[in-house]
Amino acid sequence: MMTLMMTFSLKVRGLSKAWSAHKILDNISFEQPQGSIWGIAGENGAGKSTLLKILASVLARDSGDVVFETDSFSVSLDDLNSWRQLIAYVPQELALDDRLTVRETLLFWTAARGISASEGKEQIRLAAADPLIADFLEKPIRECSGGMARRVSLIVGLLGDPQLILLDEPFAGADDHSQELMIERLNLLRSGGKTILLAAHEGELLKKLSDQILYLHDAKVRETLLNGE
Amino acid sequence: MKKKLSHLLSIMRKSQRAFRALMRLELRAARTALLLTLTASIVLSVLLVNFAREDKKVEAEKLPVLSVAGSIVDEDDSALGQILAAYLEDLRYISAVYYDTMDQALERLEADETIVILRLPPTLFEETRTGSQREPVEMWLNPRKPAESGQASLLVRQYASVLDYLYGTIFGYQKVYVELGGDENDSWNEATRHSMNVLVMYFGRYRYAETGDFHPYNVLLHTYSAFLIVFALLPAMGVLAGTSRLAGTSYEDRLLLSSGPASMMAARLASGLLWWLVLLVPLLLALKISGLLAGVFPVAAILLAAYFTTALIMLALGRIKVPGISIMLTGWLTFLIMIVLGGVIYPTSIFPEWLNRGAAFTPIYPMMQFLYNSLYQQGTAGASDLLSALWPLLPAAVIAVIFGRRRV
Repeated sequence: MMTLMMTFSLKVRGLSKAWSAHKILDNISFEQPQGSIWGIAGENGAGKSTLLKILASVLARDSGDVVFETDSFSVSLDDLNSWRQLIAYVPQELALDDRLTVRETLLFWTAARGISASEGKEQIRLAAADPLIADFLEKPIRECSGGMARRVSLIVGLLGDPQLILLDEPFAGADDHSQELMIERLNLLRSGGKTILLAAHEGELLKKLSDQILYLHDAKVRETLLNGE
Repeated sequence: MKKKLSHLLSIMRKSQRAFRALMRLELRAARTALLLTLTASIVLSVLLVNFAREDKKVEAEKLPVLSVAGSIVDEDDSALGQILAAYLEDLRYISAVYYDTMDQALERLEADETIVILRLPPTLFEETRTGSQREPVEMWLNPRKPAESGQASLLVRQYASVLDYLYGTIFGYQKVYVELGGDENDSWNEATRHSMNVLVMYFGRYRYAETGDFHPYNVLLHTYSAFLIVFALLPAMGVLAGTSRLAGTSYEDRLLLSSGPASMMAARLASGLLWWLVLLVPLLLALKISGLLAGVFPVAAILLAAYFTTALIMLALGRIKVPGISIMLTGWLTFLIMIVLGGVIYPTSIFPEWLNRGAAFTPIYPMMQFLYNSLYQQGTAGASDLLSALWPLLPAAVIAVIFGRRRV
């Protein structure tokens, strides 16, 4: 009954990807409702990062359809420009320029995203007050700890108010404090109606955070565990 | 329609913002290196200006002992007289050539203004066509200056011997051309063209030679051209390094999602352009100041085309999925092949014939030729030469669009 009332936002149907003859993803399908956090679990090489990269539109799929739908709009992965306006992707690697300070990093990625100067300033102002990074705004990235850099990476990904947030191992190398802050932020985003899909190795953390977990094994979704089951 | 246009404009604005952000970052990273390079480039340019001035001074000091003026009385009034006058005017030991009537020429000779009069008979051109000489070219010498007159007559006799030899060659050539099945009228055109080329070869002149014909070789001008080309191509190697460093990384994924592939490519090319400006603008100004180049813009356009051609190829090369060090080695090898076959290190005429012919189809070859000719003619190479030297840009752009773009 509950499922029938849900508004699905991310719809993945028949998604497949192979490297030569080796299948990475084989006919993956799922529908994730808006305002939810779903985790992707699986062993190394199970295809978690590949799935996220395809959804982030940085890796081509072999087949399958991906659509993001709300009551007011529908965007397909094939419409790259619109899709990329819609999503945030935080890759497994930090992917930050370590010569810049945290503030300069935010300024750069705001501008690189094509956000106007006035809007960018407002976003920087909000980000500067964000408890995730407020304490070390003037610190160069190269001097940040692993946890601090992870938090910056997350904030960079969230610039531009994305609807679908794709996180690849967002807690890797983060200390407990950083993890807590990040989890708190993700919960806040969920309650704000954002759709979040994340891959992580930290099983307990994933269970605690996710509404549902997709377990990838042998290129297929083997189990879909509802949180708490 | 209006909605689509507005959407397109919005995407363009965003791309511009992204491009500016990427450029700022590139500038910031390369600031110190750019300043150091600019300083080195300025020092090199100052040295070049001084060297060119010194060279001119030495040349000026090497003025010939003999310096004479003469008159041409062209009763034939054909192209031959004009060609002769134009040629003589450029000889260093001839201070002035007057195009006179016989009376004017004799007055000058009497007043010791000239030491020689050359009278071209009315039938000269016709006689050169038939090969039967009836009326000679007359030479009047100044009796009051026997030493100079003697030297001038010696030179004229030397040229006359050459021309006499040429007559034989040219008529032989024309006859063979007809025998080989060529048209009688065409044979004269071919014979005339051939004779002009041979004449140019003897007199060491470029003016009448067509593209691909004999060019006098000047080591210094070749060196200048080679330096300019190498400096124009070096920033393209930076484009390769930047592309291969980021290709396929998560950082590039982020850039792709934020700014799109076009802004990324444009920013990379523009940052190379910045290096191009720093390396070449002082040198081009130095060449202009030192009088080696009359017009800088055509040369700058060619050097810019050389940069973009190579940079576009490097954009594609940088995306090959092999380790970075292998890509850089491949890039430098490509660079080396391009400059060797382009005739930058040595003139391609020293290659075997098949390689010499093949080299003409490589991208840097027409650009090097244009540069050398521009320097040789002090920047007066024509617009058609400029356009024909730009062809490599088109295939390079196609290669970059197909292979150099970050794909999904």
